Formats: sequence, structure tokens, C-alpha cells
Amino acid sequence: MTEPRRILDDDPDELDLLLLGAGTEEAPSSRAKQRTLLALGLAVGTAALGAKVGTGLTGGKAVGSLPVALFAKLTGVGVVAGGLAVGAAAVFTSMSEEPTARNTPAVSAWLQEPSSTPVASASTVSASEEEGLEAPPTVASAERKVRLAPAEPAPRVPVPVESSEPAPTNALAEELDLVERARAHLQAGRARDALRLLDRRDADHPRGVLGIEATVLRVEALVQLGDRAAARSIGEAFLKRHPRSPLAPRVRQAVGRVPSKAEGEPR
Amino acid sequence: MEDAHGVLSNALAVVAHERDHQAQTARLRRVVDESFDFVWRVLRRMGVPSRDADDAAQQCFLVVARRLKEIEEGRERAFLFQTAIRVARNEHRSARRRREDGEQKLSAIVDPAGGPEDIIEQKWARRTLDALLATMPDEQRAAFVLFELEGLTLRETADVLGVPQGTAASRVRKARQHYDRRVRRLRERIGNGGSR
Repeated sequence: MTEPRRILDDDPDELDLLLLGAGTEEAPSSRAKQRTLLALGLAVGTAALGAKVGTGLTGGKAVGSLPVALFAKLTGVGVVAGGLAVGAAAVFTSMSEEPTARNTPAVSAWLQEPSSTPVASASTVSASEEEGLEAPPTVASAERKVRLAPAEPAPRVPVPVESSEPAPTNALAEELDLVERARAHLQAGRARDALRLLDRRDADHPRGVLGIEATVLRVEALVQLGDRAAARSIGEAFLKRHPRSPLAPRVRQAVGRVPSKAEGEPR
Repeated sequence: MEDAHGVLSNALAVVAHERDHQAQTARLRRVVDESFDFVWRVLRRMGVPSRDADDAAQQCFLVVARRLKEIEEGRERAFLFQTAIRVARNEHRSARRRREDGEQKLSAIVDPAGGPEDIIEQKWARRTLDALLATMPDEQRAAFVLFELEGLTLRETADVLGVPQGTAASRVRKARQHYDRRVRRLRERIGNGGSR
């Protein structure tokens, strides 16, 4: 069968390159992947924690001068008064937003609280909400890797390592370590030890990125200890705030609510 | 003697189970390492806003983790893609409303009547692409994302979509025609805006 010709192989112009490039250059932050690994219970400590920093969306070009340059590039016409007018605010929001925090190619950029706003139900999401401030997931900077002191992979019936190893050198790694060790304690039936580590995580990383995962573990630990009232209180607050979180089914199960139907599974 | 035999059998079963568990864990880790970025990008190009993409990606992999034993080796990416499509759909309104919103956004781009002039090139391109993709029927959009953006071959595209190659080729061609029409109109609007 004859393979269709791709746009990129078919004499693309500047606009084609711009549009297709936008589709391929966007990349998730490395913390997104780490959170997924954590949610899956996979060991994260042994992997080099890479801060993959791609070509993101923060641009860096001066606002105001670009439309004209873009326009000239696309049309071959010289500078034209008025430049390139862009659609209404409903389409392009807050052009002045410059996520400078995310422009900082440092671990501190990972310490921002992950988006915890509940995903609106299908019937209430409006176009302007959907097209709201979309923070670029990566920062435009040189690639940087942050290495952890190698840690043991979490065993199936784990004995958590109360570390005599040198402390990890960045906040995200520390937070990951605490949460992962708490999980290991919980799996081994040591709920009190798990809660102790989660308390430490809350105190040391009040604005950490693993708040959701830590809360879910806390609920499970409280259930294990028999403190159903506290588990339910925290669990219900979590479900109210994050009804569609991927971890919501675990919380529902822990507090004894009817588990929700798993979404998105191919039949 | 029988007791010893029973104990040995149990021990062997435990070892075998443990090995299987480790193999599944390693496989899952490999799947995440190899496919996380791909799944995230697919979710974004199928319309999931960036603020929700992390959670949506996590959801996809939680599904895979639950179903891993049922998934044939080497078919993980196809399973993930199909899961991502469903997750993206769950996050959104009806297909018709998505396309209508996409048309509206696309027609608002490069409006010479007004609007802020200060844009960032990549943001502009991304939003334009997303608006354009939103106007495509889902099947064409999926084929376009895989073939044109992710660079899969036609065979790989068909495999991930779970359709015959002929069907995949047809969707790719229709998506390309759709893209060409919309981009042609966009070029015309840019040209008109520049001449004023």
C-alpha cells in the first residue's frame, strides 16, 4: 500500500512548520512522570531524576514585537502597521502572563503545587475555561539532570530503609523519598510509621508537588489504624476537591464508598 | 514425605509468583519510561488542557497497570493510545460541541478587527493547531496526530488505531485534506490582514 505523503515531506511552508512543530515540541514535565511512577508504586529512587527541559512554550521572545515579525515571516511582506491582530481574549488569554517561575531552570520550579482544581464536569466546561491559562509544561533552558543517591527499590514486603545514606540534594527528591518510604511502611502494615513520615513530609514540604499522593496514603494509613472517622473526614474533603483525580477510586474504596466505574478502559 | 512435597510445591509457587510479579513490575516501568511523553502529547493534541494533562496521563497508566496481564507484549502503546483517546473524550463535551468550538476559535484567529497584538509565537502556533485539530472528526484527528505529528508509519498508525491499513490510510488522507482546507483559509486571512 502506498504510504500517504506527510505534510513535512510535501514542501511545507513556514506556517506548516510552525503548526506541526508546535504539536511535537510540547512535552510533559519530569515531575508528571515521577508522580505517575509513584502512583503506580514503582521505585523512583534508582532512576536519575532528570529535569528534561525541552523547547516548551514560554518562548522568550519579546511580547509586542513578535506579531509583526511572525506576520512578515508568514507572508513575506515587510513590516506592516498594525501587525498581526489576534483573536479575542476568549481565544488567547492573558498574553501578559509570563510564567517566570517556570522559566527558571531549577528544581524550585517543580515545587509548585500541582493543579488541584477539580476537572469540571463535561456539561459545565466552557470554551473560555478550557482555553484558560495553560501553563507551559517545560521551560526553555539547557537540559539538566539531578542525580539521587541510589536507593533500594521498594521490596514487595518492604522493610523501609531508615536511611543512613546522605540526604538527597534537592527538595523533590526528598519529598519523593518520604512519600515512597511512607508507602512502603503502609504496605508492610506499619501505618503509624507511615503517618510519621507523611507528617514530616507535610512539615518539610508544605508546598510540595506530592500533596495528592500523600493525602491518599494518609487516608489509607488511618483506615489501617482503625481511625475511620479521621479517614473519612480527610477522604471526603479530598473527593470534594479532586472528584476526578486518578487516585479518587482508591480513596473511595478506603473510606468505604462504592467504587466508581473505572474510566477510559478499552473494552 | 507428602508434607515435604507440599511445602516444596508451595515454595516453588511462591518463587514463581514473585518472579512473575517482578517481571510485570519491570514491564510496567518500561512502558512508562517509553511511552509517557507520547501519551501526554496525544492527550494534549486530543484536546485535554495542559492543566489536566498530568492527571489524565496518570489515569491512562493506572488503567494499563490494572490490565497489564491482558495486554499482549508489544501492544502496550496501542492499548495506551486507545485509553488516552477515551480519557480525552471523557474530559470533554460532545464531539459536535468540540468541533463547533474549534471552528469558532480558528475563525477568531488573525482577526483583523482587533484583539491583542502581543503574542508569543509558539503559543500562537500551539493554540492554532489545537483549534484546528478540534475541528476534525475524532477518527481523523487521531490518525493525524499519529501519522503527521508523532511520525508513525502507516502500518504503525493502523496498528495503534486497531484498524486495517486501508482504513488508516483513508483517515490520514481525509485529515490531511481537512488540514489543508483550514490552513489555506488561515493563510488567506493572514494575507488579508497584512494588506490593510
